[in-house]
Amino acid sequence: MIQVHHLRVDYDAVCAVRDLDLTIAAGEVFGLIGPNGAGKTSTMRALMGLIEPTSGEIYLDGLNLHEQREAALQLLGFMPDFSPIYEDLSVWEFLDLWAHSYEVPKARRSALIAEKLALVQLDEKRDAFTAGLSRGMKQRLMLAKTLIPDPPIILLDEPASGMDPHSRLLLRDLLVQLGRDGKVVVLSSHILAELSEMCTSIGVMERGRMVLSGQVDEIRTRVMGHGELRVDVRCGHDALAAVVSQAAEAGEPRWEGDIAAIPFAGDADAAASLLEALIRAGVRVSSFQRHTAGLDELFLKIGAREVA
Amino acid sequence: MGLYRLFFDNPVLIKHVRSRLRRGPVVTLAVAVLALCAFLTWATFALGGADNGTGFWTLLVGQSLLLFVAGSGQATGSLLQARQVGILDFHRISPQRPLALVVGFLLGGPIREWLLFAMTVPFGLLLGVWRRPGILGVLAVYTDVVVVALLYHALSVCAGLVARVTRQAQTGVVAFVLVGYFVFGQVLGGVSGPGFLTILPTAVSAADRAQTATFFGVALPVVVHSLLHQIPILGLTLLAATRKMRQDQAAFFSKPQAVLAFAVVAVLLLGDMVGFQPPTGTLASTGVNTAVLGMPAFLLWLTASIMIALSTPTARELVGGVIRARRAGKSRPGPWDAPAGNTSVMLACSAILVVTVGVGGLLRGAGAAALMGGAVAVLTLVYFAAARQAFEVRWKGSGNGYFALFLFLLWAGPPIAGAILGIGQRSSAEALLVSAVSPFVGIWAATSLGSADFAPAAAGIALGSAAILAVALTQFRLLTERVTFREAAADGG
Repeated sequence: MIQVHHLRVDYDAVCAVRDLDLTIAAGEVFGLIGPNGAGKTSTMRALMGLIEPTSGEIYLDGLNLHEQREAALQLLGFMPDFSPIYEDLSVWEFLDLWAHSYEVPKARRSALIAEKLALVQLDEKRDAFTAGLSRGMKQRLMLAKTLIPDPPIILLDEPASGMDPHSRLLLRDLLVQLGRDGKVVVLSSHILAELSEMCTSIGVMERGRMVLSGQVDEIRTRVMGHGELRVDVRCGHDALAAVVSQAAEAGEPRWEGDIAAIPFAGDADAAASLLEALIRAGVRVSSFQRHTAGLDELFLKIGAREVA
Repeated sequence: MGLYRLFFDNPVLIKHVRSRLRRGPVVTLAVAVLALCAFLTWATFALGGADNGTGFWTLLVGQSLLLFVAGSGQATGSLLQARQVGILDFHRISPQRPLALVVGFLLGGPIREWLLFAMTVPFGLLLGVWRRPGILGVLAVYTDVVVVALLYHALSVCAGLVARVTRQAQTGVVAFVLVGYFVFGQVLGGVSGPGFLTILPTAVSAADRAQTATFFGVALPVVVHSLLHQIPILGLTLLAATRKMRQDQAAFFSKPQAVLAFAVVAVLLLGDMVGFQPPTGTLASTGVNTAVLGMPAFLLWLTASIMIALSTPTARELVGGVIRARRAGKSRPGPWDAPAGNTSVMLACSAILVVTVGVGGLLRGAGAAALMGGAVAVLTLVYFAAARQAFEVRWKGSGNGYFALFLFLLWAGPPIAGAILGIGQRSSAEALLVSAVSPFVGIWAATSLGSADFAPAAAGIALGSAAILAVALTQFRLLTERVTFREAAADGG
C-alpha cells in the first residue's frame, strides 16, 4: 500500500532523511520510532506530498506521489501532533468544512458528522466553539476530521500527545480497529508503550536513516533474542535445573531469589510442554510467565548500538 | 471545475462566510457604516456638495480605505493564520483544487469588508448619479475600484503565502496599498500604464469620459485602458497564488510561466510606449527618451529580475534535480524544469526586453539609446542571474542575506558615493559617472543618450561595469555549481 524507494529529504545544509526504503502493507499499523530530529516528521510530510523530496519515489497504493499527486492524495488522511483547527468555528461547522472539502454530498454530511462525533465521543460538543475545547478534545476532533473521508491510508504524527488517559484508550482501540478493517495506519510516537500495544510493525529511524524495520515480533527476536520464561518456584529448584537442561529450546536458568529466568526460543506449545514437565518432576510452580521485551527496551538497545 | 462550485459552493469561502459574518459583529459594524454614510449624504445635499461631486469622492475615499486597506489586511491575515497553525496543509491535501482554495481565501478573507462596501454603494449612486460624475462616471469608477480591490487582495493572498509574521505581513500589505493608492502612478508617470495601480487619480480620470489614454496608438477611455492593464496582471497574480497554494515550496511561477508573465508585462508597456505623449508637469515631460524608453526599460529590467529571482532553484532543488536526471540517464534536468538553473529564464527575458525596448526606440526614432539601454539592462540581468544562483548554491540558507548585501553594495553604493562626490566637489558629471555603475542610474543614463552632455560616458561606464560583472559572476556560478554537483555525487547522488 505504501512503498518508498531511496527517499532523501534535504533542508538547506541538513539532510533530514537519507536513502529511506520502506514497504507497508494494507492492514498494518506501522509505528515510526526515533528520537527528535531522526527524520520522522520529514518522512511523514514527504508521504503527504507537503515537501518535495530531494530524490526518491513514493507510491501510495501504486500511485506515484510525484507524478499522480492529486489521485494519490485522495488516499490519505493525516493527523498531526497538535491540533490546527479554526477556532472561530463550532465543532459541527469545522467537520462540515472538511466533509464539504472532501466532496461528501450535502444530504449525507449531517449523518456522517454525527457518526464521527459519536465515534470520538464528542457528540455533546456539537454546537460548542472549538476554541473552548480541551487539548484532548481537540485531538479527538482532529481524529474525527481525519476519518471523515474514510481514507485507506492514515498518517498520525504523535497522535496521543496532550490526550488524557480516556482519550488515549479510545485512540488505541480505534487505530487497532482501523488496522483490522484493512487500512494502513502509520504513526509516530515517543510513547513506546502505546506503540507496542497498537503496532503490528515498526521502523526505527536514527539520524535520517531507517535503522531497522519489520514485524514487531520479528524485530524483537532479532534484536533482543527470543525472550525468556520467568518461573516462580516454591520448591524443587534442583529438579527445575534438571528439567530445563533436557529442553532443547531452553537455556541455562538465572536465579533471582525464587524466580528462575530461563532463556527460551520455543513457541507457545513448547512452553506448555516445559511447564507440564516441571510439574511432573515435582517442581511447585506458583507463576509461569513468558516475558518479551517492550518497544522501549528494544529502542534503547538499538539506540545504544547505533551510538556505539 | 464549474463557476458555480468555485464561487457559490466553495468550502473555504463558506467557512469564511460562517466565521466572519456572524450576526453580532456584522450588525454593529453595519449600523456604524450606514450611519456614517447617511450623515455624509445628508451633509452633502444640505451643503450643496452634490453639484461638484465632493460627497461622492469623499465617500469613495472611505470605501477605498475599507476595501483596500482593511480588506487587503484581512486577505493576508486569514491565509497567513491558516498557514502558520498548519491548517493550510490540510486544505492542500484535500481534493479541493488550488484555484478553489485561492478563491476561497481571496473572497472569503475580506468578505465582511465586501459586504460593508456593498451597503455603501447605494449612497454612492445617490451622491454621484444626479449631478457629477453622473451614472456612467459612477459605473466606471466602481468597475475600476472593484477590479483593483481584487488585484490588491490577490497580491495580499500571495503575501500571506510567503510571509512569516502575521503582523509584519499585514503592515507590509497596508503600506503597499497606501503607496499604490497615493504615490505609485505619480512616481512612475513616465508612461500611463503603471498608473493603473494608483486608484484615486485613475478613478478621477475614469469618471471623466472626455479623458483617454493610448494603447498601441489607439485612444481608449481611461477605464478601458485601466482594465486592459489590471485584468492581465490580476490573472497572472492568481496564477502565481494558485501555484504557490498547491505546494508551499513551489516558486510563484514555473519557468515558462515566468517568461509568459514577463512577456505580458512587456506587451503592456510596449502598448503604452507607442504613441504616448508625456503630460506636461510630470517626471516624464523632462525628456522624451527618459520617459518613453528609460522608464519602460527600467520597469522591464526590474520585472525580469523578479522573474529570475523567482525561478532560481535552491541548492537543494538544484542538487535534487541533477540526482533525478542522472537516475533517468540524463546529465542535467531540462532547462525549463523547476530544478534547473535560472539561465533559460534569464535568456528569454533578456530577449523579450531587448525586442520591446528596441521596437519602442525605433518607433520613436531613438534606436541608439534603445540599443544602449537594452544592453545595459541585459548585462545586468546576466550578472544578477549568475549571482543569485551562485550565492544560493555556495551559501545555501545564508545565500539570500549575502545576495541582498551584495546587491545593496553594488546598486545603492555607487549612487551614494556619487552623491557624496557631487556634494563635495560640486561636480554633477563625476557624480553621474560614479553612480552609473548602479543599474538604477546606468539604465537611465544609457537611455538618455543625447539628453545630457556626459550621458554617453556614463552609459559607457554602465555598459563596461555590467559586462565585467557578467563575465566574473558567470565564472563564479559555474565554479560553485561544479563543486556542489561533485559533493552531491559523493554524497550518494
